[in-house]
Amino acid sequence: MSGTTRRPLRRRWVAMCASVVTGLLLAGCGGSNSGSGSGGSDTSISGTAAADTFNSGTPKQGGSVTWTIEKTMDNWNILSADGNTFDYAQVVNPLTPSPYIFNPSYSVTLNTDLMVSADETSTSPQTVVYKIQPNAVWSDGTPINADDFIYNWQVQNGTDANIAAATTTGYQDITSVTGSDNGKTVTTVYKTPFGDWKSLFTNMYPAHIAKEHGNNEASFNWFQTNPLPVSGGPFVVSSVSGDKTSVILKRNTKYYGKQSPLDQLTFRAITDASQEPTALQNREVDGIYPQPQTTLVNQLKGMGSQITYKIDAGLGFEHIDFNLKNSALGNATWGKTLRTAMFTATDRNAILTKTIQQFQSSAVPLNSRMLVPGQNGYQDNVTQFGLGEGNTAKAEQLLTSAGFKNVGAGKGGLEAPDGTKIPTFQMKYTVGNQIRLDTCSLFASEMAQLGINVAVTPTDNLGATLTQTGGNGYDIVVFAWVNTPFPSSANQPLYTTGGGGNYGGYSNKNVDAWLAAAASSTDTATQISNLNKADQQISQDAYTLPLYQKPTLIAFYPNLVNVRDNATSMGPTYNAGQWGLKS
Amino acid sequence: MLAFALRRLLVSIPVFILSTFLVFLLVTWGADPLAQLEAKNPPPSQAVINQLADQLYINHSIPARYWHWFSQLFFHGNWGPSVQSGTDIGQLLSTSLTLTARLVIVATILAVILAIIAGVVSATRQYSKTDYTITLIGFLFLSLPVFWFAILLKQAVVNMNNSLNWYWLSTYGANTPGLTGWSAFSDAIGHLVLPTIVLAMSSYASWSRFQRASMLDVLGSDYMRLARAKGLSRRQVMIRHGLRTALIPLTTQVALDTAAILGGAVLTESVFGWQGMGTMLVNGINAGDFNVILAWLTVSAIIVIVFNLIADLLYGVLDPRIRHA
Repeated sequence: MSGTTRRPLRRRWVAMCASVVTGLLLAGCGGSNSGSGSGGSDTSISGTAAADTFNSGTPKQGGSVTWTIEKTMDNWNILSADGNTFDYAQVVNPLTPSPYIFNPSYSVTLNTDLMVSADETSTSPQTVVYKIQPNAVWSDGTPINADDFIYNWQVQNGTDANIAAATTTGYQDITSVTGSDNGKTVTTVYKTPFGDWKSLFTNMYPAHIAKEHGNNEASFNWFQTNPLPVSGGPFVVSSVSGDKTSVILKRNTKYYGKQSPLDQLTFRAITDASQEPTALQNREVDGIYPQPQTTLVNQLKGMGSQITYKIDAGLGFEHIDFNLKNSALGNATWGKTLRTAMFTATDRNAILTKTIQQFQSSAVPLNSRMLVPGQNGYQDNVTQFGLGEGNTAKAEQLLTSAGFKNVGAGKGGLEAPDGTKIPTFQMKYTVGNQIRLDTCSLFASEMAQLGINVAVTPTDNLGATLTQTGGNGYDIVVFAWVNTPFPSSANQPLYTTGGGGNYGGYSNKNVDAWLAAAASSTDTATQISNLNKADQQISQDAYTLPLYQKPTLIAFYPNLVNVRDNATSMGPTYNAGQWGLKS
Repeated sequence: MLAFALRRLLVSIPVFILSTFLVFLLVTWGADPLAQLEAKNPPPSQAVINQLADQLYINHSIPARYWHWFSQLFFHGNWGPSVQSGTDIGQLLSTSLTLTARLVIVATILAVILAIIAGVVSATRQYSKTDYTITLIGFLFLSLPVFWFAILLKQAVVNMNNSLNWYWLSTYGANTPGLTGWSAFSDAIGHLVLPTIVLAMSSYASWSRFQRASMLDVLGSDYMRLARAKGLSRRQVMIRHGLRTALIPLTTQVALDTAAILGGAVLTESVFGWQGMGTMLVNGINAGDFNVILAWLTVSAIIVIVFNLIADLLYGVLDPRIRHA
């Protein structure tokens, strides 16, 4: 008897050892896979209607999905400055209710599971009335009502300095939030008009749980360190591993909308993105959402039709910024000419060819700082000013006609019209980011053609470099902004005089006024018009140069349905309640 | 012996304090704990940044900060706040250390067993094909970069799993979430195999060379010839007289190297996604979380000192000349 059982076991071990040895040889040779066709595409559909229905289907009831996040689940309060992280939001999205959903098409639609309606009933003072579905409850049966709106407003309106909220934008403009109709009607009144009011009250935390944990400050901090004990979304937290690398969510049986087809949704933290394709291939996870890189995309391509992957152009974008606090770049007399010449000599197509087109051949230069293609009102505000064309001759002409001396390579270095020697500029990029290094290297070589020295150096501390603290700083920097579908409120702090994200010290009174008008207007056409005016002025002032939309990459097994990319801040789990396995 | 042990222990204390100060200097100069918060988009208010700076006590002089950190740790058992709210450094250290210990202990046992077998076989069959083969394998593992071998092994196992359609061996993390009982145990073993092999191989390579040399020394000694002349079997001579003596240098070497294995665990844990001490250090550095980095370095310093102490004591136990010197 024992002989009959031993033989297959021995054979299995022999097969296993042979597989490992063969596998090592194949892995060493750099190729390993059998997939013939590719299950992927790099043609972006983000911002189009097709993005909302990609991979849609009817799932079967039951099953579980394991999704990848890139951080261990150290903070559960995504409204806090510290917890405001994309990966945490992926876990918290299916647990917290939001009046509006940010769709992959960049449209913002009412969450009809939660809301009956949300209307602006008055413009002076701006008043928005929310009507909550009568059956909308937290998973412990407590109704979702005005108390939740009031709590989420109070902790984000900036009145309590001890509450470290991620942002107070919009909430600080509200003067009152009141409930009526048993708390199922919520009226918000604004002291200052806020156009992007639909961006507010996203991912609401439960007020009745907050009450159990002290005052607003104490409960806000409590939510940071504790998994949500109740849910207002399609899933509830079932367990969190001791090392915080995994979170298991189970179906919320008290969910007031359509029940999730999945029994379980597990989030696993893979903190090293380069290991994600291997984990996917080994079926340790069912889907990943890493930042695309050439090697990573090639690994996915190697898996062939075994998986589905999609590269999209995201809402975020890479850009080159000048620091106007630098005495040459910010020179009141000739600084603007110098900057314009530098951006004129910058060849964005060459940058794209050398970087993201390696894995996203459809990528094109972005011609707006305020909007991306697919968003209402996107227009080219860059090329009409000659920026990003890589036209060295035109740049030289600009400099020469403005009185600059030693224009061109090998002439001893550029001199300003007043005789000032143009100093070597320090260009910073995030350490380890090959794409940004390539961008900087290309930019530096283009500037050398004008007689300008650019020293490319990495920073392991982008935050300190941008804010120029602790001895850090930059003259030129390449980095990315992450956008939401609400360009008016998002862009105002980036280009307004003294704004929170205006690191380079740009200041233009017209731009300040246009951006303020866009942020306070509730009329889309007015918002777009003002945003585009500001954008054109910034191009004219040659403060920043948008390069390209930051690509996004999603990959998953083809047996999953309704899983799709969402390039907005909500991410792919915006519809986790609809995810399921193919029937 | 007790006096010898106490003497060694007392010498270790100033070494430890000095090492913590040096480590503190390096970390405070190298890490900016506010960097991640400042880089957030939307940017947090200055009040929020100031609040964190106050919590971290970073607006004081370096000696004051060192004393604050030292006194909090040694008089109150408090490792200090983390820049990542929600992270209790003591708890993080405890879970990370447990996980890494699991990996390091199994890897060390595996490496020691393999090294002894390979070293003895190699020495007893000096200059034979077996010796050359074992030597080649030893040098191969000695020269392989850990991360490269780890990635290669992972990919090979993924290919194997796919071809066998059997996914017991895992490439990431220490376990699969949500399992209980026997499945959880079996799953934990499946997660342990690959990182253990990777971590064990580099130690095995050097220890097997060490064991071979030590065994060759012993084999050439007079007392071995005498034992054989007295009529003892080759096996008895090898195990009772040869191996026992030849193990003495390896024993102390393993004690010294165990602390160094922690260094290897940093890379191994990164590649295999283990949330152990290595990952704790890498995450701490990435976040500029200086209290986490300090905690890691302090524990590492303690481990190095303790294992050096153990090595010294073992020398003393095994060689009476040392403890009486």
